Amino acid sequence: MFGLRVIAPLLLVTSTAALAVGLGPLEKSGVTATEAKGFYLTLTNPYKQPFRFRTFVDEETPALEGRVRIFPEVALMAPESNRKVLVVVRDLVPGEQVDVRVCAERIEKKEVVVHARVCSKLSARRVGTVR
Amino acid sequence: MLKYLLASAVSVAGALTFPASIQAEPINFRATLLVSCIIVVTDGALAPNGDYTLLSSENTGGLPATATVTALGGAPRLTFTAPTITSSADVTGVTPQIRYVSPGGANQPYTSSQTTYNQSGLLGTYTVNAQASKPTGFNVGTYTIGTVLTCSG
Repeated sequence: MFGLRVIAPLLLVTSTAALAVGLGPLEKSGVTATEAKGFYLTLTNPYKQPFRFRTFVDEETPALEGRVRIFPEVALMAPESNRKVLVVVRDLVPGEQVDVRVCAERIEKKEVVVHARVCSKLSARRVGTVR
Repeated sequence: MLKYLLASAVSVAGALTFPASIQAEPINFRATLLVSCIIVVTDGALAPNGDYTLLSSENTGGLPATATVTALGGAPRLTFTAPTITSSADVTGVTPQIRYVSPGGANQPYTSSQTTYNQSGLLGTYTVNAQASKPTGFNVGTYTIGTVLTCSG
């Protein structure tokens, strides 16, 4: 009976930085005269090893039906490096404002205890009068 | 001589009354600081209590997780999602909890709900503990309690 209740070695024990991600700015807004507005975000890999990161539209953002494109969505980052990520909000109609939350995180191959994520609030507005 | 005096007078008057040739350009230094956030996390470990009814990072053999949040240009908002537990064993009905503290003032008691904390300084170090209880005892398996720490503006 006791044997059935022995618990296998539990979880992950690490003594070094296991998870990290950096993103900025955390808030950005912009006005455009066209149907698309782009934002540059800076993604940071603070590790001393290369890792893959993904950038995505946060699930809390109302459905935007494919109107937000991210380039690249997945990036292999060199150690302790930064890179630009382009976020484009498309199909803006005159006078429309679209708010979107874009997040970045490291792609994990295993379950982790505290999963680190950084999110940026972006607001794109097209000039003109709402029809 | 008169011509010389007249020319000199015109010259002096010109220098005094037409200072347009003096250029004054301001020298400015500008910087636009944007808020960014970097999170570095170390994982923790869970350990059972004596009768295997409580898995906790605060039991002997357990280890808390730590999260270091560096915010440049402003104070961020941190969100810990409601913790989840996953296992190869049955965890039906088991509700995991986390708690966290920081020298900067965060002091969240054990909770199974999502919590938010507004970091006041540029640097925050958080110690995160996790636990889950099962009155009938945990069976053989590997257990993971997880939460998502989100830094946002």
